[in-house]
Amino acid sequence: MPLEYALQFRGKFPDPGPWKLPRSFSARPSQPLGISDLPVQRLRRSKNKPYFFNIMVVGESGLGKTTFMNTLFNTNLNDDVKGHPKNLSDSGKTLSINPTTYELSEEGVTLHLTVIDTPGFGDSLNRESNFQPIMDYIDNQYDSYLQAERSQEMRRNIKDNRVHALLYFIAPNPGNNDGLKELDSEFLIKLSMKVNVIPVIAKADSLTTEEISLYKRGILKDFEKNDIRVYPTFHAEDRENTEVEKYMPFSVIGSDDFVESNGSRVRGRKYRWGQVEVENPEHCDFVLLRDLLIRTNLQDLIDTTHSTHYAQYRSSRIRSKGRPESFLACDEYYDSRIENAKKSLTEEMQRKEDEMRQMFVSKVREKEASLREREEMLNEKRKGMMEELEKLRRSVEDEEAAINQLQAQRTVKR
Amino acid sequence: MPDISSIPVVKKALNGYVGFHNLPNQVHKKSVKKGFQFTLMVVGESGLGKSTLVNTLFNASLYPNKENREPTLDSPKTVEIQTISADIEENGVKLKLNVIDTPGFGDFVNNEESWKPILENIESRYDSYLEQESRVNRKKLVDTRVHACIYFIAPTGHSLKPLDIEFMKRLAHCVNLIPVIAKSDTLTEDEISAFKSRIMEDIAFHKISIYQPLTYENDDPETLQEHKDIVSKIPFAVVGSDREVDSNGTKVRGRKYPWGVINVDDESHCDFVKLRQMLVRTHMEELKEHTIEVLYETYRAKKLIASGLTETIHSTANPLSRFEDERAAHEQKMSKMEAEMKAVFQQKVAEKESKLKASEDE
Repeated sequence: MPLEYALQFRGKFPDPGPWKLPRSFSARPSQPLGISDLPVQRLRRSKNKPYFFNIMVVGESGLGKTTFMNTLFNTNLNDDVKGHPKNLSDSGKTLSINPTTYELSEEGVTLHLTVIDTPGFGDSLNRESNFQPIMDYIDNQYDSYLQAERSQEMRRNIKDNRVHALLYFIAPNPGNNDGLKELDSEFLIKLSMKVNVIPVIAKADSLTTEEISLYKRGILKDFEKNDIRVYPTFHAEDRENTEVEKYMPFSVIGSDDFVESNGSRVRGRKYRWGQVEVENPEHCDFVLLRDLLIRTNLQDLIDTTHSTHYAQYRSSRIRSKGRPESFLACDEYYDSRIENAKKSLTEEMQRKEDEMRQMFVSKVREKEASLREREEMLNEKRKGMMEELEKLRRSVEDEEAAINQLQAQRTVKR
Repeated sequence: MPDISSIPVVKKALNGYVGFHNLPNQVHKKSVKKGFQFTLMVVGESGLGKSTLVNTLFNASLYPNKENREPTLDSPKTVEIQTISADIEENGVKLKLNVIDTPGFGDFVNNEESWKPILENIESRYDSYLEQESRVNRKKLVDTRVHACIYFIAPTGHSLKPLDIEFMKRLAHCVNLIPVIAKSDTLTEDEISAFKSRIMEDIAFHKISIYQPLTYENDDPETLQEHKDIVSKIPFAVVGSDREVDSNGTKVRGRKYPWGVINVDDESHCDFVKLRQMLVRTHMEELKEHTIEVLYETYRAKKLIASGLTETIHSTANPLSRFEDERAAHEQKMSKMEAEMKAVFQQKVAEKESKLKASEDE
């Protein structure tokens, strides 16, 4: 029987259901299969599609944010650095959020970079109102992604506008205890729970080496004290070079100008007493930051935003609506629940039927008993009546007999 | 709040090194670290060589050899689902391969419902993923969705059987169907090409959408040609062999007949190489992507719209609700029974009473 032949493995490899993968064993192919090409397959599919990256820059005015972004991406992102938008006069009250998207290309790889600038941060007198717009912006991007994910239609290529990294610029003037200023620590506490925060010390060329290390130490202490979780120490899935983390927070310098160094043109700032070279690791930590941010951890920033920060937003959002943990009521305990429910239902039904039958049977018996009683009674009565009848009949017979006798006597007398 | 999607994109030129050209390598590294996974289903009547072909495809004895057993009276009634899972590693790239077998398909006298358990199995995997995706905590997603289904066509040489057509029609819209002609060493070259064209005609006639590998305009002409070659061979005429035989002094994987040796790995003998190429070397990721981005999304959209919900649990989405319905039906039945019994009871009592009364009057 071919069927039984085929079913020889029955019970040996049962399908564990749609919730679990079966236990695997290690197989050794006798010849190479070509699996090592799989990562290339995956890449091939996205080969000429651009990558998307969204970075937000936050810091007080004048810390060189725009210049720094130009330096970081080695291009003139924003041509008019000095001329701030005219609405500065009325921006004393609020903060504005300005995203701009650039398309950059390097060796065949296209990057759609969105830089979200936040001019006006820290400028108003009472800066509490500066926090909320930024937090709202970050949340709004998470929210629109959540809505897109939840959509009932087919979800093709959801546009990812979530903030993947936030560069926080710390002024090169230490606050109390050679550490963070109050504005910075308050804000960093809030931000680091929501997004990948990378703090940098701006305009680091105004500090000497000792001053910088003292400042860094103070800042790190503040981070610890306030449980501020910066990237990559926290949140990163890819922590290959933990060496780099020793230099955090990175001290950076930005420049749109070029200087001569060893015969080549490099970005730098020329002072009377010397020149600062941005890419010189002895002058500042720019190269370390660039490597971490772009060369090694760019994809990781995107991934951790999705798997950690967005996931947290999503779960707290869903829970707040009071929705139960599972969407459809079919989870991995579905099968066992169905079994139990089925069993208990049939048991219940059976029980009810039996009960009813019992009740019925007992009622019938009762009625039968009472009817029988009546029947007996009636029989008794009838017997009694029959007997009476008999008696009557006999007495009638006797009387008849008496009458016949009398008649007979009379005829004899004649 | 500014709307990012409405912002125009400004093109800028780089003045020097930045470093994001390394992005593809970053992605590559991550995917190697995470490993790959692929779920394959094989469907076909017994004896068409499914287990052998799986062993041949992956160069490994995933399925042990079957022995000759005594026939028993204990015969199954429905199609069964069996799954094995193998971990394969090559040059640091890990692949978890799951193979689902469906013994019993097409083997019963009445095969009208053969496709049902298989369709249900595939859809339940989609359901499971849909549920996991909607959970509050999505840390550990177990993806059991089927990425490809190889359907074995018996080498009759005529055309598709009604069973084949029925199965393919039912399943083509929810899984990537790859039809293959099994044991094709019983057909000559001409018979094969005639068979193939009749099969494709049947498929077109019944509007069955089997898996079509996509091509990209950006690919180099070599790859494009390779793809065209693969597509032209569908349905693949395959022969499986997990044993080595001797052919002109060299050991090859194949089958030895008195009239010659067929070499499985020889492209001129059968299409096995093309099938393996498509499945493993060139289109594995694409099969997965098509399943995830198209087939699953279609199923999901249909299901959500049908249950009309996004936020709340609707009772029809709750399978336990059918027990409610059953319970309600049962209660109705019971009350009906009760009423009936009562009526009969009353009637009998009335009869008896009238009888008694009658004899009383006497």
